[in-house]
Amino acid sequence: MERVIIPNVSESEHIGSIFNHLVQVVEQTRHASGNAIVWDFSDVTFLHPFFLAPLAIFRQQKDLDIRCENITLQMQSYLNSIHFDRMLHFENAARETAEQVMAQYADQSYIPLCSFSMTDENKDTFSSIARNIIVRQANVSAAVTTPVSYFLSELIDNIYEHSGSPNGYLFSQYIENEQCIDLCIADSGITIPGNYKRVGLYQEEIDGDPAEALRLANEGRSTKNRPDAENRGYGISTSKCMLVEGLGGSFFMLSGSAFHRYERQSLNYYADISRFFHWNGTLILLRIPVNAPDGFNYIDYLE
Amino acid sequence: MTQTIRLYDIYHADLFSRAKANQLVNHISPKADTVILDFEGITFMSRSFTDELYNLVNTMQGKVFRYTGRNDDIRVMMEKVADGRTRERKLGIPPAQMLFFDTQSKLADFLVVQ
Repeated sequence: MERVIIPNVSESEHIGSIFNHLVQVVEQTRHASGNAIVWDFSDVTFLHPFFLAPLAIFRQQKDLDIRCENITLQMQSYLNSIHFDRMLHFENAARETAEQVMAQYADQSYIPLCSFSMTDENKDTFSSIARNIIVRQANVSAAVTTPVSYFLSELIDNIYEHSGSPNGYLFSQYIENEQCIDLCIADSGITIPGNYKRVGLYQEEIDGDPAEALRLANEGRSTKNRPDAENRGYGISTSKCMLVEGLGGSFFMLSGSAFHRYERQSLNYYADISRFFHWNGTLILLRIPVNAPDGFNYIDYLE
Repeated sequence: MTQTIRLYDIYHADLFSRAKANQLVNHISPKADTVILDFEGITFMSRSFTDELYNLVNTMQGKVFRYTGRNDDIRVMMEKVADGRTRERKLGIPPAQMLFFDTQSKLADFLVVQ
């Protein structure tokens, strides 16, 4: 029996610190694979959404037999509410059915951990319904409603167009104290470096460095441009600028063995961690303020 | 003949994805020489959808497309996409640091303070 101690990850921790906790738990769990694993929650009184969501996705992707122990009643209640043990799954449900399921969260502060099949109809229907709930829960200002739609549509469409992932994942938590929404969007696909490798583009520039692949994707180097135009690749770059520079939010992306963090001009980097860590798929974390600064107009960030 | 397509009837209020824009071709009559796309009730159109719509409109020879019921956001989005096709792309993203960590402990040391 291998025991992995789950750390307390408080509301005030920054994304870097949260990611550090995640790497440690994931690596300890991986090394224990093959044995029965216990995630020990003795130290936990709070788990940050940006820690909790990836942890649940990791567990689901790996289909690991992990027993969770020493969870306080309050924490267990929250974990049950957000479907930590078993995600809500949307598999080509009719719009009305999906709306009915999600309507029960309209007056909560979260959207539970959801997986949704990556078909034309299903992903758009799910994104649209999720957006409606997120906006309602947080009473998002009019100026931020369209950016929320923009982030969801572009980032989920990227999963569909590039990742080859059968499912997408979404989790959202409104943090009233901070007046922001912590949104997690993820897939279990071929990763961004893997996609460049699959199509054989930009391989000289990437030169085996997964962080360079992330940089290219974040700067809009699409694998699917038309022969006559650079018409693709705007989704991530414009979403990021709108979020960070426009709204004062935060952006984090983990894909395969590299991650990218952008919170302000002085905190903007890509990191290659391929020597010791690999994540199956791509994970994007967005901290979205619910109110926009004066003068913000999302149109200013469209390229 | 003139054909009017109410986008809300096909897509509801959100025009999200490229794939959905590509499906629009299935709703256009081969006999139509003018196609009116009615945006009444559409509250959001993504850049990706707009980009594919631009492709569709500009590759359907012999048809004239007109638009009605567009809100300001949709109108501006269409202008931005069209504008993007006629000029070289400029990235608005500031340069970022490129980092490499060869051990988990070095990453941890870095992340604790960052």
